[in-house]
Amino acid sequence: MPASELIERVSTLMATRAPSALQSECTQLERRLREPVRVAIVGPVNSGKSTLVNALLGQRVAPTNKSECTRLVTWFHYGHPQRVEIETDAGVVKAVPLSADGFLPDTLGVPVESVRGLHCYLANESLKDVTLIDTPGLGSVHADYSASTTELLALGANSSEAAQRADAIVFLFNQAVMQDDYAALQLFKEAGGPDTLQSAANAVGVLSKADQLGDPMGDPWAVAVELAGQYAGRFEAEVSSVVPVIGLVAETSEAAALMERDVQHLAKLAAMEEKAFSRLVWSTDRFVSASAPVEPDDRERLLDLLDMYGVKRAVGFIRDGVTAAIPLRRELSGVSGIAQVKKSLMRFLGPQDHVLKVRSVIDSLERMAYAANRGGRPEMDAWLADIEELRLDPALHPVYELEALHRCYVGRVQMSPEQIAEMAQLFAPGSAANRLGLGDVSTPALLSAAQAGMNRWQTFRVTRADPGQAAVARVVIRSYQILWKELQ
Amino acid sequence: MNPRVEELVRSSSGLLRREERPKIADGLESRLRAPAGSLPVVLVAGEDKRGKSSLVNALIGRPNLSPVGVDAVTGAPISFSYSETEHAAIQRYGEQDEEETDFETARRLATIQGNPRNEAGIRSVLLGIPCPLLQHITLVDTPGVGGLHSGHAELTLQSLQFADALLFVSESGAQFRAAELEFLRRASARIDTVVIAFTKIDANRGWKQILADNTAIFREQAPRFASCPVVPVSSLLALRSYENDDDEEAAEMLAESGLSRLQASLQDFVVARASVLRDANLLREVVRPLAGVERSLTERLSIVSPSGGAKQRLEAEQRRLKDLNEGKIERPRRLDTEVRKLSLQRSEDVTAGLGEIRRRYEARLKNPSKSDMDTMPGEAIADLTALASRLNEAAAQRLSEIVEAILEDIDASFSVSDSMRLSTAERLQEQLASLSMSRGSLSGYDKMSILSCFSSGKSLGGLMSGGGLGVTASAILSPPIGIAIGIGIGALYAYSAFKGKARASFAADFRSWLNEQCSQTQTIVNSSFQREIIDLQEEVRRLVKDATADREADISESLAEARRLMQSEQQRQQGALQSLQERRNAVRQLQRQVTETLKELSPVPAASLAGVPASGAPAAGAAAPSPA
Repeated sequence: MPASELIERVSTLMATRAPSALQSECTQLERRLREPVRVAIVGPVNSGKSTLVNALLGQRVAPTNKSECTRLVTWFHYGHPQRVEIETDAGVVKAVPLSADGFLPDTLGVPVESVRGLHCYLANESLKDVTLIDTPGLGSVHADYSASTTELLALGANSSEAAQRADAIVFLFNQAVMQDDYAALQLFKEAGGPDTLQSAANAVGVLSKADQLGDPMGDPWAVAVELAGQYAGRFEAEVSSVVPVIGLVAETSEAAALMERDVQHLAKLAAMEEKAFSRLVWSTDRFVSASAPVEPDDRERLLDLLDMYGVKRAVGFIRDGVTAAIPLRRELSGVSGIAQVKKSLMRFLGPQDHVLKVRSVIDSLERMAYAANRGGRPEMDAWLADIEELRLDPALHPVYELEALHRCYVGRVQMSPEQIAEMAQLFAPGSAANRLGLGDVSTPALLSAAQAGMNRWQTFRVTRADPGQAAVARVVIRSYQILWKELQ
Repeated sequence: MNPRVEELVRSSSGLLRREERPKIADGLESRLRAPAGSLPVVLVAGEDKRGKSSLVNALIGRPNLSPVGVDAVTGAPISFSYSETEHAAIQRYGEQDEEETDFETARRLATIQGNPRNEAGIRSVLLGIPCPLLQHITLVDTPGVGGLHSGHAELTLQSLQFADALLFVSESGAQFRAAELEFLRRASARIDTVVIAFTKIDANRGWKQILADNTAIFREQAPRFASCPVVPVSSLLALRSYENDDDEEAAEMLAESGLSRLQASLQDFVVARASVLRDANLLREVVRPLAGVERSLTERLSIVSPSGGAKQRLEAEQRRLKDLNEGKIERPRRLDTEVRKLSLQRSEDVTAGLGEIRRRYEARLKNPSKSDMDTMPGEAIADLTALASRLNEAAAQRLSEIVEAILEDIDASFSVSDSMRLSTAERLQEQLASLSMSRGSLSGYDKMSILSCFSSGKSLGGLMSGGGLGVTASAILSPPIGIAIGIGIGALYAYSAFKGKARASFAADFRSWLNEQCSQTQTIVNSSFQREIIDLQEEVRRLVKDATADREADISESLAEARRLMQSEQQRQQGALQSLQERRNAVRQLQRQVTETLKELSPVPAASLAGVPASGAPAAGAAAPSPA
């Protein structure tokens, strides 16, 4: 059953068969099902989270001054009219408008300590499929700021908290990964509960501020890619990939903050003599204060928009002939790495997201039911049976496949390379023939291949597998079963 | 040296000679003649990737000296000291001597890439370079603290007690993180002098804002550091200037880099403070001898004075001392009891500490990631080392308390003679020099290390300084000094045994390896301690005996002199009394001057050296730049 139908099924099930005791939780979960996937952007202070949010939105909303600014967990939802709702501890919701230049308001009119979170509604297309959550940085000297992020991450899949929990996180790595960063990642995974298979299915990494890596005279990308690769290896159990990005350049180009007049200023810099220009870019202080054909204020603006690497690249493009704002922005976006970030986020979005959501809703339902079932009440048992049936729905199976495969890749479960290859092939999308590793053959042949696969793994499971391997084997057997059914 | 200090020490020495304490006088005079002693050691610490190594390179003037790179690089502490020609050596765990090697090899072995998981068992790397700055200070580059290679944090903190100053490196792209602030707080408990370098100002457009933020953070959360010099600097600009052919450009770059600000800070701050501390330590030396003379003179005056009692008291004391020397009093036993208690405590502590380490690693073994497999063995070594040196510190502390208490007792009852302390120091120094470094001994200290570039005015000089045996005991029981502490129990352990092992067996292998290391640690911690303690007990016993013997002689002398005086005529008696009083006044006056001067020199909070009398260096308060 396609994922969207699955959602309807769960929704109907909750509405019709859920025991009355669990109605209110079900309502919350229902809402959850309908909402877009929730992705939290998490990382140490000053790592560029808000900048990345703006880049992803293509709109500058989250404040990004140099000082530590994000102090509250801020949700970005799709919605009209554009507004900011302040959720206080007391549950009060107060609405304030965005500031004149489109940013979140500086002052909220209520004491910061009493605010639980901000909910910003924007008529922004990107938010139709995903809800972004900007968070205060980790490891801050202001312990209470970081605490709200840690709280967010620690929210379990229990009923009341599930509504607030993020489905996935984007974790920003700096040049060096600190102990408390690592601890935060672990927290998120653990909070998912013991049932949640420990996998990296719902976390991706971003190596931010890639332009600051390595020698400023050299090319930071080479270094960035290498470092990202290293981190991907080191943290393969925690994140599924690590992608480098230059957040500021991405923000400026995606949000079209670079104006024509900025381009004109850049052109003047591009026209400077090589030696004079290289003397200008020794340092940021020099760039804004030394003498040059562009006013210091304008230069400062360029630096705020692009930083040194961005300015150098822009000047390079201009010298290559890209002289108008729109194409220049496109080029800059290209070198910012934002496209790769979006791609890695895609694994949370699209058809996949429904499956993830449904899975976590089902987890929550089950947990709630067990918690409430302390007397072995018959209606609870029936309900649990319903949930179990839901779990077995083929539409959910891809999630289990993904997690099983990941566990094998990271070595949590020992499988031979042949077994892993077989799994990867079987789980990949494609025709039945592809998945079975056969060419153009008749259906009966495919059927018997699927049957053979089932038997092979069944034997393995019963005779040689340890518990971890057995769990994976069950998933593989089910995959073959589903395939077999499809072929009928 | 502060001329006033020199003058006071000379006066004291002269007085002591007149008062017939030539040995002490000799000792003081030789201290005056001795060279300034070793250079102040500056530890460079900070989180990974904050630019520590680049900064060291910039300060020394050689790009790529301390290896830099994208991934956190420094794997072992590297010390930089002065030498006419380039020179390099490495120290391995379990070895007592340095191993000479070529420059390049040493540099490579100090990095994580060049020596992954510390397979080569490097404890520290020592580089000698003909750099002018190093003629004034010794720099030590350390592996980053808060990073995932976090086993190093504890070791770096412990090394601080042997350093003279901390150069903490923080970068200008982000505010202070909680971990950095925490490290600074812990560091400040162990070291007075802290300079903060605020790096990468060339690359961060908002550095002034961040600097202001950090200053505010200090004010709010760590006021002790609010008066620390914080120096904005760009290592990169400095390093580029060294390679720039265009002289004018190079000069401009260097000026902009702010490096000279940092060098000035180090010179004025660290070097000046170090010399002030040394002067103060030397001056403190005279306090006890002078007090002894004063007491002695007072005693004689009181014997001779008509109101009796003094004579009887002294005679009683003489008898007590005789009894003590004949072993009739149980003084020594107190030492035994206390030492036994200390041993037991230490044994408990090590068991508890090892248990905690085992538990922690057990928890991690439940779900080891790939990076865990790489780093856990190294971290375990660091943890065990840190535990051992923590225990040693605690034991040294306790022991010096015990010894001080015993001396206090003796002092209170018997007015310990001042020569005791000096001779104690002399004898223990000999003992230190002869204590052999047994292979694999935890507390077997490294003589090379004490005398090597690591030593600051504290270790050897500390032997001579005030505080009795406190510092001495510490020097004996300390683990091989400086950052170069190692538990020498096969940290070389076949790391390769873990390479390529499948994850499933990793947990089992690691567990059994760790258990083995733990039990070895336990054995060594306990047994070597026993050995050292026995030596120390012997020494203390001997010293106490000598002290009491000296004191007895002193009393006999006083009593004899008093008798002689009593028997001479009135006029001579008057004359003698007057002379005694004059002598005592002279001593008291000198004591007052010494106390005043010490008060001026005594440790003051970081930057407020403005009040220090001219010791040759300008007041640091003027030289240090004020934050933005």
